[in-house]
Amino acid sequence: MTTFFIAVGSLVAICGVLAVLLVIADRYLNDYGICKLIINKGAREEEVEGGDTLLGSLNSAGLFIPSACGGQGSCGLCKLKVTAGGPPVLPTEEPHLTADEIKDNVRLCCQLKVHEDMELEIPEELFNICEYKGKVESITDLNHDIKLLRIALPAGDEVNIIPGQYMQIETPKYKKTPEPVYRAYSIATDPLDKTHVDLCIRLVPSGICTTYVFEHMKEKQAVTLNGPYGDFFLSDTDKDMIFIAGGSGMAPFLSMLAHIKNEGITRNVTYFFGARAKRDLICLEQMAAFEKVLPNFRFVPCLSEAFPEDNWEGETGLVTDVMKRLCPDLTQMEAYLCGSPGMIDASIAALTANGMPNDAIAYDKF
Amino acid sequence: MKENPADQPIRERLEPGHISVEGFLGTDNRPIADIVAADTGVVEAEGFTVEQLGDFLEKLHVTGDGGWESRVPMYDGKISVRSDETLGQISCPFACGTSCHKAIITVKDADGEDLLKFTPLDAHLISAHGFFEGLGSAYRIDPNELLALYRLCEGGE
Repeated sequence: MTTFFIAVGSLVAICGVLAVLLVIADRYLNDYGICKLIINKGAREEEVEGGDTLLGSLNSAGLFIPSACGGQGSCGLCKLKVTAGGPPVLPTEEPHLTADEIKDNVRLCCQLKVHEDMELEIPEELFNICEYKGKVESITDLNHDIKLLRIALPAGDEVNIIPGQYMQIETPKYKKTPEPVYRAYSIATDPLDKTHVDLCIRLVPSGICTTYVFEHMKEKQAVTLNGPYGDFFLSDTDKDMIFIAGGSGMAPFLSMLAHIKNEGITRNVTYFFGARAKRDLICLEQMAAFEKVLPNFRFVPCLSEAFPEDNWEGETGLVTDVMKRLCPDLTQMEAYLCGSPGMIDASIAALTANGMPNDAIAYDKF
Repeated sequence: MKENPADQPIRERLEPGHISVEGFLGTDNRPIADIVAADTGVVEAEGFTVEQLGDFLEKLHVTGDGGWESRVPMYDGKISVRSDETLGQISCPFACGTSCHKAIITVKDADGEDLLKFTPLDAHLISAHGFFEGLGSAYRIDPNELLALYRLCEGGE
């Protein structure tokens, strides 16, 4: 019996020692300490706690890199040149990098962890991107599945946007979400209003950020966002323009139309907005108001599956088919698109079929 | 049952709140390898492969996308598909580097009855990882139901 107790006691003691060793190893072996990020050949240096992703480390140092997916490794936007430090290219980076980019030391900084000093190249314009601690001013239903989120910036803060850009908004920890996540949304704000950020948010079933906005976000609550990002801008040519959007893809065009009004731009603009039924249309009053003050602007909503009770007398069918019919010659025009990938692909096919060159088509394909 | 340590990071990403609010496991507590083995076993016992079924779903997805949120008939009207897309992408929880567009594809029969609902990520998960999602998950695809739809459309014993 004594032997049995000694054996059990020894086993417990060994397990205890091993557990302590594991804790110590975890504490010290996984402690990467402070790592130095040397940016643009030493033009800027940041010291960060090792262990986080490069994207997270740069964020904590106040450097915000575009990332529409919030660091999931799915959008491929957070590319940076890493000239020293870091492991070889990871399998999760490979699908987003071309052979030339890999050769050129381009990395996906949401996948790369900081375990040592690193040397990076960051485009100068990203140094101007800021983080804002705003407050939810209002949440308005635009239709059954799209909300307009209006965020007021704190007194003294201003954001200078170029119409077409996007912001990243933080969804805090909630329900079963273990950590905050960021998602990108196009800005719908009039660029003259530098103290607010307006975002059109469409509910994504099971989406972490949109579920939060639709079910948990309240007016007056604090919200963290950063930006503005993106290069989906209006050109400065005199060419006639076509806008094509669906759903929450309306957002950048609200901002662009406000800019066209503010600047007295007289270019012809035809805006095709696709929806299934009347209940899916949004911002009809704003569009009517723009048509009143912009004589060269025409809004063309198109319904693909209108209900009989909609009594719809406007354009019907796919928005691309309507556009092709109403604009048979697009050789001298430009197009701006915002919507789902399928919509963008279908629009590009329709535009080029009617003669528009590929380089005259700009789009935000999230 | 206990998860294989090598699959633990995958399990974490499949749990609620990491990639989607509800996650991919539902009420299923089995190790990932067991979930995959059980479902692929059903498919292989019928003489098919998960790649065939995943490719079939991808074909429905691509056709649905072409309809731009309108219902598109397929297979001589035996079924129709509609893809409702939203902006954004979702990365594969198996961390293989694949990311898929966010969309919900619904499949109906000739009478308009619901047959199947899936996402582009489901097509990838089935084809590349043999993962049909855990029991009780909102987007789980029952292999037998998918096989029945495949036979209806593509034929095969």
